[in-house]
Amino acid sequence: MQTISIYFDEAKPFEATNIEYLSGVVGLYFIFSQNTFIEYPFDKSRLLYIGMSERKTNNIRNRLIGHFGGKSKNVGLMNYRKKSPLLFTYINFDILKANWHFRIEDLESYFILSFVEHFGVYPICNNKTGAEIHSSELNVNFKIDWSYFK
Amino acid sequence: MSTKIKKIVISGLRGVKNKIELSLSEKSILLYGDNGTGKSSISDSLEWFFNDEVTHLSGSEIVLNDALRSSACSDADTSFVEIEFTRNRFNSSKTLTSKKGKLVSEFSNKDTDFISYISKTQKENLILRYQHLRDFIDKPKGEKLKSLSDVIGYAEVNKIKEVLKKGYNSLKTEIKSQNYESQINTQKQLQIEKIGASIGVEKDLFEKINHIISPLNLAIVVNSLNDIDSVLTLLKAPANIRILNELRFLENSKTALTVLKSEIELLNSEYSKYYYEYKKIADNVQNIMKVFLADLLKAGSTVIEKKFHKDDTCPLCLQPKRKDELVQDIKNRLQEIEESLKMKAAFDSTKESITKIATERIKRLDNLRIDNYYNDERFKSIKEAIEDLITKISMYEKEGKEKVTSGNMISEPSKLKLTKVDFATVEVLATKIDVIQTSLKKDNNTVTYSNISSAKEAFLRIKKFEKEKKVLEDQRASMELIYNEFVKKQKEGLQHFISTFSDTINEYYQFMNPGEQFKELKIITIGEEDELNGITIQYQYKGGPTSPPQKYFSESHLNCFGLSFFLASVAAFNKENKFVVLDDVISSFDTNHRKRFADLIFEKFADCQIILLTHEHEWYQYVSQLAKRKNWSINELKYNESDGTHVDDQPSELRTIIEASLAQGDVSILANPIRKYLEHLLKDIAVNLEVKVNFRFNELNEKRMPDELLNELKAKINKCSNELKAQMPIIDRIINSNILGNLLSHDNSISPKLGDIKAFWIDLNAMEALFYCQLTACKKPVSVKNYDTVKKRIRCGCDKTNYDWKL
Repeated sequence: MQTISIYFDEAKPFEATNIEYLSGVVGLYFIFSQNTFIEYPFDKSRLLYIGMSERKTNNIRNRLIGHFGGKSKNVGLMNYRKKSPLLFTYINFDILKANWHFRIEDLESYFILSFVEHFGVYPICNNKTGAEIHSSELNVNFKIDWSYFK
Repeated sequence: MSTKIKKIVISGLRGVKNKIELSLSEKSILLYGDNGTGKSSISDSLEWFFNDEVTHLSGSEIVLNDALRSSACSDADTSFVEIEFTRNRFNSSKTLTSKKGKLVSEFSNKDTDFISYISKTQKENLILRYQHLRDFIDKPKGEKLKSLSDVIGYAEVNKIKEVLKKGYNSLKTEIKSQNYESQINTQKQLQIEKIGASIGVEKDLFEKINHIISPLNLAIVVNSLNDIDSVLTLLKAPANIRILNELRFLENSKTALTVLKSEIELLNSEYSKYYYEYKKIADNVQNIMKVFLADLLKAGSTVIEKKFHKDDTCPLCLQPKRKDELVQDIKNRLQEIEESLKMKAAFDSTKESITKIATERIKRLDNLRIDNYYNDERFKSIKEAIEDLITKISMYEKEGKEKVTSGNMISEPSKLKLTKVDFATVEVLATKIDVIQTSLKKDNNTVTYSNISSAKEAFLRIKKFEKEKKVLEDQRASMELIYNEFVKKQKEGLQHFISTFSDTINEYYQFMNPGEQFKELKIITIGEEDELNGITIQYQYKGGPTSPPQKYFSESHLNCFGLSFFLASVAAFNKENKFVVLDDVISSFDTNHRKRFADLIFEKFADCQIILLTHEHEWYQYVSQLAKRKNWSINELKYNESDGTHVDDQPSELRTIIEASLAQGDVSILANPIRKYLEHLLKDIAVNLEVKVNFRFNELNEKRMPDELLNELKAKINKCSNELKAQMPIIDRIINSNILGNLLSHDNSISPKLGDIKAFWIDLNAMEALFYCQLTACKKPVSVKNYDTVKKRIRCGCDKTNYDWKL
């Protein structure tokens, strides 16, 4: 099974001006606190939320703007934003298309479950995960750099 | 320093046959003239002087210069307006002379300061006539905005806004056409393929490479990009250079084509948008052709407005065309073009987008052509595939450059459409790369070299794209910020101005209409955030906001608003000049409004020089009382066949004329001025001493001969004042003078001796000194109104001159 290391790009402040340029991008996004560390069961992390946009018409820009403006009704994210500045980064789904043969929803679940494996629980602002991918179906293993959020 | 007028001389213009001279000395003037006496000759002449036009003479079939010229003038005569200003360097005459059968006008003052002054003055509000009172109110909303925008310079500011918007849109197009996201994705895909990781941060790249090279024991730890080069040097086996170069060429080609493949949708959808806009315009190309005429029509409009072309012909083809019709035609055509302009803007945007996108893709494929392996026979099929793609994308570019007015239709999107089939060679490249990599498998160092080298190059490209993207995004963000701030400030500025301007209009209006039902008049802007499209006038009526004024306002109220608007404009915009001409503006006002208007002028415009013309006699009498107190000049305009329009000279002006003539020894023109001066003097003395004469009806009352007044004056003095009786010889000298006999029997020239006239003038002055205080600060007449009931004496204003008096 192929192993691919997933590194994250430089984070950007979770502000409307930085979100504006992500129009049309399909992929996963990660919202985390600049300086608040969450005490997860296995380890600390600043990661608060893993999200996904599945198509160009509901792209990362729209999803992030929804969180930014409170339209998504994710109270946790809104309150963390009130407490300290948030950052975000994202992974364009196109990068992994050649190696990931499932839906993007499944990729999101993969990342969330990987987080659970490393930290013991879902990111604090996630309240659900999609269908779980059986490990027997996978032909790739993502080695995710969760240390990025430490 | 604001300019006022010291003197106006008009000759040979409109109803003025000879010469009218108004010595204003910076003072305001009230000019009364019955209908037909030529009041408008004065306002027309001034409007022509300052604005080079006369609005009410700009209609059909009127050649301005011909209409201005007095019909009494011969070809040899020079018609002119001569104005002396408080700023002497602006003194100038404007003449109208016949040259080769055509009337030509020119200023005597050619100084650039004066030209600049006239140009600035033309933007100010100097002349208001009754017929133009409602111009602003009656304009449609859009034109109201335009009218106000032009005056306050808002239109110019809008142009700057458009430039900023264009800059912002251009950056947006550039970001879109570069499609950095897609380019970065492809490089990351390559990284995954080569080193099993997508990396955008330097330290992650070093970590990954250190992990890869750790089994090779190269005794080097990568901490910088230079360290990676060191690793590559250690790994590089000379024998494999050729294969590695081939591999690099194939991988570069594959990367370029993969990026392009991911952009199929972008290219096709942008072309479809362009095709749709192109077709819309091509289907009605006549409309879009009109757009290209917009600049010509606007230029034509300017040529006419600025009077670069004055004849009733089209300035372009010189065919006969009435000017007002031409102006209206141009306006209508520009309105029609407005819609087409919007269509063209949408078209231009898609045209720019597809052209830029196609050009950029061709450039990227062109980069592959410079590789030595591009022309290698072994890679012929790859070259052909790339050339096919360049040809195909060039079609997008070519169609993007097609002129929509050429009559050619561009290819339908389905005919150009890029598909995955066009990128079949990507698979060929993958296979070739695979073959090379397989062959190299045994040579672990070479494989590692290839992978690290490619990953590093991909990383550098990612950084390059990110940097370029950031520069453009920052520029776009800055431009957006500037644009938004500009729009905000522009709107704030306009709102502030309109608010202040509205307050002033309302203040003047309420002054003239106290306690009436229309309250809080204001100008309201109509339109979206940054796209104002009109102005309306709103007011409170029966407790709620209402508009437009025409709904409930009477004629008198509408005119009051027009007057308030004009006066508010004077207060707001007139910077160069401190004078205005108000020509018969109260004609349709009721009595109450007229009085309030007069009060407004004296109260709110006390520091402004007013040239106030009226034919309303009652109002004139009311205003003249106020005007006297405010030291205005007051005069009457008369008209007769021989003199045309002329002024009924006032004593002060007559004195100046008489003394100037005496000083020059010129007695030929003295008859009328001296007679008029004597009549004025005697009438005024008679009024102040209550000298009674026989009753006569109206105008006949004015036409009393001096001897009648002199005799009655003597009788009154004999009866009432011993002290004045002692001065009777002074009055007798006037009565006994031969000159007086001449004045009474001749209407025009006197042919007396200069010495006799000088003597008569001295006697006249002596008589004046008897009845008027000689102190400069007073100068008031001795009057029974100032009767001292204790001392039983009459006096002047200050009591310096007084006489005993029996009532």
